[in-house]
Amino acid sequence: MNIPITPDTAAYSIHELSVLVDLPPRTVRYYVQIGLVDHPEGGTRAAKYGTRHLEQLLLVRKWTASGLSLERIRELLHGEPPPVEARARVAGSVEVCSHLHVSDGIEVVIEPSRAGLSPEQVRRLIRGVMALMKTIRDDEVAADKPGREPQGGAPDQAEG
Amino acid sequence: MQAMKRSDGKLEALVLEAVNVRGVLRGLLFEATVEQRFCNPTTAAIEVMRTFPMPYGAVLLGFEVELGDKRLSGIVVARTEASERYERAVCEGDLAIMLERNHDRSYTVNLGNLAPDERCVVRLRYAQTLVFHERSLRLMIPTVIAPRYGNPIIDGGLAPHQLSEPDMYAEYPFDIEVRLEGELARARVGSPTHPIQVARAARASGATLDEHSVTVSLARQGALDRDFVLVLDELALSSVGIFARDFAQTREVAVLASFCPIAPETAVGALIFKVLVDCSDSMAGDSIDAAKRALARVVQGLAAGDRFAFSRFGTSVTHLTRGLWTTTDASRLSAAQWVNDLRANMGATEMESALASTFALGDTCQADVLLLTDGQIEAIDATIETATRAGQRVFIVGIGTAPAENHLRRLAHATGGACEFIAPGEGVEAAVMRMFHRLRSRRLDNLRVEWPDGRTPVWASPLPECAFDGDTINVFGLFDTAVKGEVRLIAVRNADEGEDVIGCAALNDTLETADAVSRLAAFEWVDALGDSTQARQVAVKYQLVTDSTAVVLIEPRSASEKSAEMPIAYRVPQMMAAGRGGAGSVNAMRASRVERLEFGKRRFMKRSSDPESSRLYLDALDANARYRHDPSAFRPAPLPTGPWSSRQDAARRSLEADPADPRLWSVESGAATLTPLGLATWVSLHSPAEWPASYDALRVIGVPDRVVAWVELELGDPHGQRLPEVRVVREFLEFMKAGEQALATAGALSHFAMVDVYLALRMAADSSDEGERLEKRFFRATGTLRTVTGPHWPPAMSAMRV
Repeated sequence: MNIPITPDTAAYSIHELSVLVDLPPRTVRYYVQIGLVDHPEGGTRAAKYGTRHLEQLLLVRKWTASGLSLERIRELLHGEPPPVEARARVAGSVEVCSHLHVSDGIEVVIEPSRAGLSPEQVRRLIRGVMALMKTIRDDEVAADKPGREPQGGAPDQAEG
Repeated sequence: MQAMKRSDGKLEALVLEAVNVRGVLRGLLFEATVEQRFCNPTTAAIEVMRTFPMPYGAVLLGFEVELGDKRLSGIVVARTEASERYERAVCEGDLAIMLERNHDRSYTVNLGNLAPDERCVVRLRYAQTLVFHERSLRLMIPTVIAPRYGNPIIDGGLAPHQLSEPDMYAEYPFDIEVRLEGELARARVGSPTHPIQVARAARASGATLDEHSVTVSLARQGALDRDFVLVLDELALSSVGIFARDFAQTREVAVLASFCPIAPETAVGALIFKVLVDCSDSMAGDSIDAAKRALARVVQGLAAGDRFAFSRFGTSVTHLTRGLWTTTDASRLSAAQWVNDLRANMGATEMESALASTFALGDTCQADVLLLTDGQIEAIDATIETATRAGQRVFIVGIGTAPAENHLRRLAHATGGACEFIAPGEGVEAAVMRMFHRLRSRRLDNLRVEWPDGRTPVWASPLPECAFDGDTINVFGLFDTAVKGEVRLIAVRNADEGEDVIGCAALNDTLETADAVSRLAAFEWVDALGDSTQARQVAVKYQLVTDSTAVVLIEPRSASEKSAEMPIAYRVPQMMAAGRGGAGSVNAMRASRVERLEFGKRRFMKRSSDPESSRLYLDALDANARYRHDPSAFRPAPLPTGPWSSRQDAARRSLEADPADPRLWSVESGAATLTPLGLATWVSLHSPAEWPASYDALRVIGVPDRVVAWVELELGDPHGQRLPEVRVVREFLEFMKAGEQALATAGALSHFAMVDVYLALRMAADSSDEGERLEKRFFRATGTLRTVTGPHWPPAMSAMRV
C-alpha cells in the first residue's frame, strides 16, 4: 500500500497507520487503550491519527523490540523517574539485619538502612506482621471448631 | 471507572465471574465443555481479553456465546479475515467476539464492546485423544498460566493484548465434573490436586444404575490457581480402532487406531544419563521438594553399570562433575547428598544454555538427559531447536501445580523423549519408575502402519520416530470409503531381528457420527502441513482454530446501543499459581471454600477456611505423600506436660504407636527417617544389646543417610584414620540417649548443658589410644552436635569431607 506521508496535518486511519509502523491494527489500538499512544481525533468510526501518533508508535515499537516491558515503556513515556536501583554492595561492607521470627517457617529480614525505615516504622512493621499472623492463625483455629464463628475482618492495626 | 478501582489501580469487581468444566472420558477420547462467565461491572464499554491454557493436543470443536437470552455460534475463518472483521465491528461500536490460538498454544478470547452491566457466557467445546502409560492414565486440565521467565513478546511470540500477568488479588471460582464411561468407570480414580467425590451416575431413565458410568466432581469448590489432575489406574487396556464419519465430506471416513505395545521383557541395558534440575526461584517451595523426592528415587534406582551426571541450573548451570560417574556406593552417596542440598535459589530460568551445557557433558558419549522443571519459560522455541540439534533424547519430569505442559511435551517429543508430571505432594514412585522403564527398555524404531486390505489412506498422521513399551500410540487416517478389519503397527524391536507386529487394533463395526474423530485427525493434518495455504483451507473446512485461523462472531448493536468511544481494555489477570515460587505451600494448604458475595450488581469473592479438614483421596499416592497430607502431620498434638518421666513415656508410646508422629519421624530424600528426638527415643526404648552396631544398621532403623555419612566420616574415619565401626556407632547412640531429655523438654541439644562434661566423663572411662582419639573427634564435633534440635538434624551434618 502506498500511503503519502504529509507533515503535521497528516490524518491517517488506524489501518493506514498500522501499515506505516508495520504493526497489526489490533496492536496499535491496544497501545492507545493502555495509554502508550495518545487517543485519536474523532470518535471510534472517524478516528484519525497524525504524525504525533506515528512518532509515538515508532518509539514504542523500538522499545518493545529491544526487550522493554509495556509497563516500563509506559513509565518512560510518562517521564516517571526510573526505580531506585539497589545500591551495589561493597565488598567488606557490614550489614546489620534484624531477623523477625514470626512463626516456625516464617522469618522477616529487615535491613532498616536499605529499606529506609525509621526505628518507629520498623516497630510498626513488626507489630503489624505479628498481628496479621495472629489473625490468620485465629481464623484457622476458629474454623477447626464447628459452631464457632470464624474471626474475620482486617488485621489489628498497629499503633504508633 | 474510578469507582471500581482498588488502591493499586486494578479493577476491584470481577469481570471473570467463574469457569466451569463438564467433561466425558470415553474410550480413547476426552470431550469437554468449558464455560466462562463474564460480566461488565463498570459504567463504560470494555474490551475483555482473557488468555487461558488448554490441554496438550486439545482441539477446539465448538464456540458458543450466550448473551442474555440469545445463543450465538461462531464460525472459523482465516485469521486475517477474523481480525479485520473484529476490528471493524469494535470501531463501529458493535459487540465483537473473537477466539484466537496463540503462539504458545494458549488461547485468547476477546470480547469487544461489552456494555455496562452486560453479561456474556462463552462456551468452548474441545476434544483430545488420551495417551495411556502402561495401565494408567493422567488427565490434566490446566486452569492457569504461571509466570514465565523471559520476554513474552520477543521470546514467546505473543501479541501485546495476549499477555497474561498474574495478580495476587485475583480469585476466580472453578468447578469441574468429569464422567467416566465404559471400561474407564472400573478404574481406580484419584486426584493429587483437588479433593474429589466419586458417584455412580444413574441412567437417563433414572430407574436403574448404570454400572459403567461414574461421575467425578470436586468435593469443595476450587479456584483457577492449579491444574486439575485426575489419575486413573488399574485399567484393562487393549488396542482399539474407531472409524467415524468425516466432518467435512460425509462420504469419507476418519479412522483412529490406538495401539498399546507391550514388549516382552528384554535384557536390561545399562543406562547413561545426565540429570538436569531446575533450581530457579520459581521452583521454590513445593516444587523443589517434589523434585528432590523424585531425584532421591532416581538415585535409589541406579544400578551397577549405569553411568550418570548431575547438574542444576538457574541463571547459570552448575555440574556436579565434568564427566559421567559410574555407579558405586560412594558415587550414589555423593549424589544423594547433592540432591539433599538442592535449593531453588539460582535465580532465572536459563534453560536453553543449561541444556546446551549438559548435552556437552561427557564428550562424545551418547546419553539421555533427564530434566526436572516446571517449564516456566517463554523461549521454548529456541530451547527446542537447541535440543533437537544436539540429538540427545530429553526425558522430562514436569513439576508443580501448573507446569507448562505444552512446552514440556513439545520439547520431549521433539527429541524423542517422554514426559511425566508430578503434582506437589503426589507420590513420585510411579512416575520415576515409568521413566526408568522407558530409559531402560529397548526402543521401538522404524514404526509403520499397515491398514486393512492394503488400503492407502488419503492422509495418515505421521508416526513418532520411536516409541516406548507401555505408552499408547494414536494414529489417524482419512479414507475415501468405509474401512473394515484390523490396523497393525509394525516396528523394529531389535536391529538384528527385523520387523515385528507390536500392536493390532480392530476397527469397530458401526460408524461413529460424532465429529470429534475426523476433526482431531484434520487438526494433525493441518499441523503436518505447516504454515501453508492448504493448511489454512483444511482448517477452515474442518472449522478448526489453528495458528492461521480464528473464530469470530459479531452482534450488531442498534444505533442507540452503539458505543461511541474506544472500549476500555481489560486483560483478565491470572491467579497466582498455587505454591509457585514458594508462595504458600500446597502441601500445607487446607481445603478452602470460595464464596461469591453479591452487593447490588457488584460481585466479590471471599475465601474462607472450611471447617472440615481436607484429605486427598488418591490411593495412588505413596506412603510419604499420604503421610504429608495427613492433617495431623501438620498439627502435632502438643507435647504432654507434667513430669519428665510421663513425657518420656508418652513419646515412647508414640514412637511405637504412631509412625506418622512428626516429632519422631520426618521425610528426608523421600523416605521416612527418624528425627533426633525420634532416634533418642528409639535408643532409650531398646536395650543396648538391640542397638545397631554398624553404619548400615543405623540406616535400617531410620537414621537419615546424611547423618550416618556424617557419623562415619567425621567421627569414624576423618582423614583416613579409621576407628572400629562398632565403637563409633555405640558412642554416637550413647550420646543421643544422654541427650534425650534435653531434646524432649527443651527441644534442642544446645540446652544439653552437660554436653562437655558428659563427653569428658565418657571418654575418661577409656584411656586407650582409641578412646582418646574418639574423645578428640567428639570434642571437635560439639559445635555441630549442639545445633541438633528435636525435629531437625542440622545442615552441618550434610557437609561431608570426601
